[in-house]
Amino acid sequence: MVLAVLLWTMAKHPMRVVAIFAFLACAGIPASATILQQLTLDEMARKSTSIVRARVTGCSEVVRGSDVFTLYKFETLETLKSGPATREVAVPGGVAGGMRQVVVGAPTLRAGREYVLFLWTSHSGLTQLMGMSQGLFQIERTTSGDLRASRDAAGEQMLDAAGHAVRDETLSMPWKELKARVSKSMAIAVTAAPPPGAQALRAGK
Amino acid sequence: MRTAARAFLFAVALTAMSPWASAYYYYVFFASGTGPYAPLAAHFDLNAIKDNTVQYFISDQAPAPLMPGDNLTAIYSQIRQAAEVWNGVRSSSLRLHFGGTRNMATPQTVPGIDVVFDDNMPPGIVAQTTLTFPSDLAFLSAKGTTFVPILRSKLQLRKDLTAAGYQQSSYSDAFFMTLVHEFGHTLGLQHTFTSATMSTAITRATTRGAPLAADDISGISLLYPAGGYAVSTGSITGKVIGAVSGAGINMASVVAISTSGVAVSGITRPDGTYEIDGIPPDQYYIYVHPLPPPQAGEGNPANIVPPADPQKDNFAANTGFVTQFFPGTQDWTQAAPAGVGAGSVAKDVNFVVTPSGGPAVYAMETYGYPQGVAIPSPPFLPKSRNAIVFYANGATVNNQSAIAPGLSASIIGPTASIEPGSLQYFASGFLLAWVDTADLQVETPVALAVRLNGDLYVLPAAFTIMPGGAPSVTAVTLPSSGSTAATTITGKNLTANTRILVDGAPAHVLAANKDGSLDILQPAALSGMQAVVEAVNPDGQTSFQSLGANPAPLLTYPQANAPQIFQTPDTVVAGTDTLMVISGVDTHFADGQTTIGFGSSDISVRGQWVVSPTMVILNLSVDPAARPGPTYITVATGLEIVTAPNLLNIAAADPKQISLRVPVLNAVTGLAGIPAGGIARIATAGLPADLTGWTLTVGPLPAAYTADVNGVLTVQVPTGLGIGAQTVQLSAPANAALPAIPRVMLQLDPAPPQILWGVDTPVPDGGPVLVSASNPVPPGQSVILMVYGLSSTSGVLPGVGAVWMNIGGAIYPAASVTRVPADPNSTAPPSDLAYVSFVVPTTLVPDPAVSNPSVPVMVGTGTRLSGAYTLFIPPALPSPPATTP
Repeated sequence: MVLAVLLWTMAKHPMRVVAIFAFLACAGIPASATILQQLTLDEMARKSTSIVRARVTGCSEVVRGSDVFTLYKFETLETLKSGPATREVAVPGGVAGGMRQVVVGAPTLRAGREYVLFLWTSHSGLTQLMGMSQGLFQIERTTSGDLRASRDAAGEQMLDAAGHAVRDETLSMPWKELKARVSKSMAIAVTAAPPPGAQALRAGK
Repeated sequence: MRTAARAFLFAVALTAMSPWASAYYYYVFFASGTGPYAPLAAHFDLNAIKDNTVQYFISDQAPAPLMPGDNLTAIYSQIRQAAEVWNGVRSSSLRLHFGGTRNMATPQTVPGIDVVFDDNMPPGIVAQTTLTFPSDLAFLSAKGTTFVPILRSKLQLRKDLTAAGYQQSSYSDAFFMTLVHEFGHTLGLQHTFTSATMSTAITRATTRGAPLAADDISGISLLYPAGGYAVSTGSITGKVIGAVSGAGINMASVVAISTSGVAVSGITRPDGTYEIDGIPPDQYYIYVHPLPPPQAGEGNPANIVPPADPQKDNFAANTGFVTQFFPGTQDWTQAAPAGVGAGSVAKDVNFVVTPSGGPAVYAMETYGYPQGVAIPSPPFLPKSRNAIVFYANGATVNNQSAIAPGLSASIIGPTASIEPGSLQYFASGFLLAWVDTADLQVETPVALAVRLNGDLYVLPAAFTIMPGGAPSVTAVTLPSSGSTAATTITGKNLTANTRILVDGAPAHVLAANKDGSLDILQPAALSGMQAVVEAVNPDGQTSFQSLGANPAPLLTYPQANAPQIFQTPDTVVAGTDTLMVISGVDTHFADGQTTIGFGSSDISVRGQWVVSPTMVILNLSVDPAARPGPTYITVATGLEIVTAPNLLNIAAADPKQISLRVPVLNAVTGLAGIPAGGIARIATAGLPADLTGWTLTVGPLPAAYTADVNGVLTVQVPTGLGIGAQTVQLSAPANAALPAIPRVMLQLDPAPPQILWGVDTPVPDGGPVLVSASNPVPPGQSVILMVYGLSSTSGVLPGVGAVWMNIGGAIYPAASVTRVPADPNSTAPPSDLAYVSFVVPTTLVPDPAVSNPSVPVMVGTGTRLSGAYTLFIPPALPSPPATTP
């Protein structure tokens, strides 16, 4: 009976089925040591204070207040979004000041590797990655020599903007495509919101 | 925060627990990167905290803004109840105590847990937990080191609880379960894959009604073992090696799963060996599976922090192999279950695993529609047909629009089955199967096995067979003003065993009415508070699981005066123990419900007596290194949480200060309760050797005492004092020119219970036979004792959970406690007699040199312990004669 109802619903109202499954996801939200809010690429682009393609050159560990951070130094190869001048990104956790701190879910960057870093600089001046590992894309060269940016689905619990649990998805695309999408997101961010009706017109094009 | 040097000294100098052979999902350290690999788990040092109690604090920087209708009291209540979940594990010796609100900028010496609300996190992070250990691991190789101390844990939530991504009201089960999980991390637990609360991602199946699964209980109980746990559970050991390499597989997850729904797991060491402890006795299928592979930017698969050693060796997990059941099959029907008994080890459960590029299927979530709404890890009735939908990475193809070719699913065990041919693609990446459940009488989690492309995935609790229906709350009816009637909760499937939670705080169920409603006494709360009401049944089902979009039922408290608190003394001195009196105005202090914290890990509550709704007396210990200055006092009774900032002052330690030490102990039993006329032992600090002219009083009466060379006082407790809290005052002669010695409290108890006789069971046809040398009781059999004087002064017989047995010096639970029925023909008041039964431990080994072996047995409750009863057990069997060559 339930299946019949659901199948009928799916046939008649596919978006409602999507809503059902969005609801399914929120019906019981599991827990994880680090809980992330799922950020779309657009949101990351808009909310980041800077976005760079960079190569990690080294790391050190520091104490800020009562927290230990691992500072990864990087060499900027390309800037997608300019922000506060920085050559290092802080990831929570590490060993410093007589303390060894572990933050589950904190990513590890490897020296010599290239990444796209979506960075957020706080009022205190500390620059971190957006959304823990969400703001970190690996850059690799394909066999044809092109650059490809990828980020697998996060293992941590994710919530959408309304607090519903969602599953993260793998993102992988040519570097040029990522650049273009980021640029477009930033362009949208600086234009005024379209008047009612204009969005529908654009969508119809 | 401690320096590394102090942390080093602290970690090494203190008594250690036994080495962990199976620190499977803890934060693990090795002394070196070469074998043998003896895991050293990180946990709170029980010698660095008082009474095995870790205090947790909530930052005085409160969250704001909050979700509409939510409030700080409700949030704090949910945090407290989440911590109480871990307190409910009787086989764990660790306790959590709400230390109240604190200023997080004040350094602490004693380890603790901080819950903070801080938006100083990048967008995209909603909450994170941080554990702090000593930085220098050189002590790991020191002889006698058996663990790594957790110095402090921090649970960080966003300050703005309306921020996108965290729009959850505090009453939601999801918020609560998140807190339970995070508290587990703060105590030293990492992730598992057994559908338990500490499970990763979306595979958890626990609920507010049953918030801990067997793996969670095993994990915390082995990390902080209470007496008797290890002997009541069993172990499985073995090795996982690669079929091609022949090398040990590091950080493979090995899961023991029974058809009754119990799943306990372990993780292999770098040499591939593993040991899973804490397994309840049963038959288990055992399978090994890789951790989900590491994601981009993640150093570790499944975000499990790998072991560390002083040399910073790499202990990366090997995730490239195929899942299999023991012995070497992916078909659970061909698997060989292993029997696990109490105190036994099932050895050599070994695996030879085939390499692969990664799991074909992983991270499965399941839903059902038993009440017309989608419920994760759903409850299904026995003997019913249900649709179960599930989503898993790899289970679909073509952009998640079709079922992966060759995918098959089956239920592990006989408790349910998938209808042949019913597995199909459903919608939006979900698959569907029709499941028929067996006729079961107890709630039973059911495991689902999925096979694809030569790989296997197991979800230990895909759904649970629940004989009972879910509770619901349809109305909350408060009595009219001035009435003495109770509050009535109306709904479905409400029984005397239903818990009614009011913003997470438990109400007292007064009566289960014939119409199915419950009369309750709601917890105390602040004036006009509007609290959400939830019903939770023992089978784990809650009234919220089918709430859907409906509003949660509310209980609105009447307007009342705001409670206030005051304390005496105003100042405590670092390094002393002292009594403190908390007085309240318009408060509702209640025994067993009131918790008091002082906003500092360095001030511990060592004893508490609720004298009245407006007075509580405490024993406090103030750490010598407590930082001088003002601190908070927080008193919480249900939802009545009162915080007074800067009410108490901590004064610096005084070298001349003398202190009595709490708790005051019974010289005979070692417990913190002394009967009138009994002997108390009181440790002291700073006491001079010459006590000429010194006086000691208990209550208003002088007490005779002696002191040994260590300053321990042996005190004759006077008779004629009332039962309960009595002050102890040690006074120096007037000309001694010493600071006043703070008074402390002792617990004056009624006379200890007495064991009158014991009989073994089953009772023979001829009637009960007393236990004696001629009628010994073999291990594993039950004994019933007749006990006099077990009840409290108010005549209440303690429940079985409040009574324990001391058998040969080890602590065991009582099996049952029942009052001896009164003689119906007698007009005399019933005697305080009770039957207490227990099981003779199977680990008792008689001395072969003794012809009538026996073991002393005592029964205890609260701070009272009976005298010893002699339990005779059968003599050891004679050794078989040696064979002649």
